[in-house]
Amino acid sequence: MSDPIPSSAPAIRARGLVRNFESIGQRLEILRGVDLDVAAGEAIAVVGRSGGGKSTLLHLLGLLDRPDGGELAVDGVDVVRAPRGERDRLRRDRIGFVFQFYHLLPELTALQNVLLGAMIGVSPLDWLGRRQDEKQRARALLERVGLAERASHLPSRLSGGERQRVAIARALLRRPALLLCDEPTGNLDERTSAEIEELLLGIQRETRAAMVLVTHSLRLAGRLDRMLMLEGGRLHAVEAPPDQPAAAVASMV
Amino acid sequence: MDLLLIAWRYLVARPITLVSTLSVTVGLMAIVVVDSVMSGFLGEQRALIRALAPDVSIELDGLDAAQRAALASQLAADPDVTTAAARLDVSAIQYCREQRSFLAAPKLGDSYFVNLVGLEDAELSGPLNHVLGATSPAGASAAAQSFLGTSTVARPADPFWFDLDDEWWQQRLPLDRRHRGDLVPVLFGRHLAYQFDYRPGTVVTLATFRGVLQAGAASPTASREFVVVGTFATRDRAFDDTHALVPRAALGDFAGLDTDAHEQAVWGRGTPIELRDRLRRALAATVDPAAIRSWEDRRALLLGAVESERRVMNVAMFFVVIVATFSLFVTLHQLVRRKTRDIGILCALGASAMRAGRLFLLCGLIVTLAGSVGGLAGGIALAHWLNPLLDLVERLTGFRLFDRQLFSFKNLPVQIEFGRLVWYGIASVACGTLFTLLPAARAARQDPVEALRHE
Repeated sequence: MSDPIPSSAPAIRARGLVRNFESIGQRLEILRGVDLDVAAGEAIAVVGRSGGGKSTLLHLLGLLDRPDGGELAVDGVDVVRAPRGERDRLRRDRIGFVFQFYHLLPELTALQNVLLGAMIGVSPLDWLGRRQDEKQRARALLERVGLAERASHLPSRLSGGERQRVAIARALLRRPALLLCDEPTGNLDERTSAEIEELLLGIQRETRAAMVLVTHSLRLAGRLDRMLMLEGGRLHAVEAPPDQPAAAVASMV
Repeated sequence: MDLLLIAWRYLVARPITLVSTLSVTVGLMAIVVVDSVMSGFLGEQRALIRALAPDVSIELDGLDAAQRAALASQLAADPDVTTAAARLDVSAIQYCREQRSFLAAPKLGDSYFVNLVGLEDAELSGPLNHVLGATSPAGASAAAQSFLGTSTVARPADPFWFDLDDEWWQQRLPLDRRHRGDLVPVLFGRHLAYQFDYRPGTVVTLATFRGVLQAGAASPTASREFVVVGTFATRDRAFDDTHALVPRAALGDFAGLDTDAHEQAVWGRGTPIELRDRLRRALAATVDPAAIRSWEDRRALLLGAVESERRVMNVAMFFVVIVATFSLFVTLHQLVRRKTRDIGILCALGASAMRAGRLFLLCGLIVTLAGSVGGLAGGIALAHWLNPLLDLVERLTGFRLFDRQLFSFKNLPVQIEFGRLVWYGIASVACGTLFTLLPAARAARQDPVEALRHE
């Protein structure tokens, strides 16, 4: 497994992030001033109630959305003021997403889904030159997530756990500096969830990529470097006894 | 590269896109076939309208003998002119002296108008040679010559060839005319000859006014016997029904005209329009440029109507293109709705929303390109084998689409004009792209976060 592209800057630095939505004439203040620092190679969990803004925060950190206020730097780049093209480039080259519902393209095979990230923004001519290397790397990633034999299968022929493994391999292809995982085990049974947890954490340790993981699984959250709770539109650090993290957090959530 | 892969996978996974491709294909095939048949008909119509008209004609009215001689020598020296010959037009009346059949017109004693065109041999043995029919000894094909029998002398290539001393002619002339040296040879239009049952050797009496007609003054008339030496056939049946060709000098003598020609018929290199323009420049000192006209100038009204017909047809064809490509809009609109989440996924992987829009544009382009190429190829093939196919349908079902009785050609005329077909292909791709723009723009405007949440 290759390392992420080294960067001395913190993976994430957010100050006073604000995000509001309009709904049926009402203004909903989802994020009211989020402060967050994630160091390179650090893995943090964000927990909180459903509808509390965890996914919204992840979308802001992943540059899929823009904040209504506050400062945000990803990999040392001020992404609030960055032009769209720069944000797209950062998202493509430095950020990997893993979603709850896998979000694979159903028409593409597992291998093609993994390769997709490498293809975006590449001209057909360039792709011809890089195709073999990228394919080799995609196959290696599929092998790493245990799906070497299923490379040519369409997502419809894969189980939920297998689809999530493909999604993880896809997120890793570009050697991201930041992994954003939105409830990656939320749609899986307990046993498969455990397998995916192991895989994710193992890969995060191997790649030393920073990771922000949104989850309802306190067991998983407790295994990361830090646990933050999003409540009232702000992030709060959760300090729990190392031997009882789940119970401690459960009483707070 | 990603777009090409995804677009291709989207399309092959959805049979509805095949329907769109087929609709473009079938639409373009229809256009190609209709356009080719239309072009074939128009080509036939142009040939029909042209009849015996030369490339360019120069009106000689107002020119004195010296000017005419100068003009003739200038034309003879012009390297672009291949044939130049004087022409004369005279109206005449023919009498029906014999009634071959009592069932059909004309009846004995009836008289009919006929337009006599005075030509020089140069035209009939040159550019107009193709109009000479099987009953013309000089213009007949080998098979027809065999049918007509061999002559005791070698026949010259003169279409007005008539020789009283030749056995071939003696066998065909009435007994009382075999020693008449004043018979003038005439070629009748094939339909006119058929109508009157004229054959080589038939003697016909024609009458006309002598000299220039003047209002209020009695005009002398003249009649003379002509001998039918053959027939001609243009594609214009109406022309062939009313015209006969006579040697120009003999016609001038018959009609008692001072001038020996009304116009100078010119055939040459390049298009008639190019030749006209060159002659206008070259002969500016001798002839008023307005008197030099191409055959298209002379039949401008009729040709304009034909062109107008083609324009209307082109507009109608364009609507077929629009209808054929409209299904793309529906297909792409549905595709964007179904694949909204994919837009979010692509954005999460680093694509811009604009790029997602381009994905659907590419889908539309692939469909229209495939449909257009298929439609053009299929249409050309269908147009090429249209007549054999129609024959097959007729043999199998008895149904005949094209009624040969109504036209002067046996098969449906088909002329594939590749230049215009390319334009139809371009129009089809442009329309398809246009109909794809709206769904593609909708995809490009999609908020990635909303797209990821799309159910």
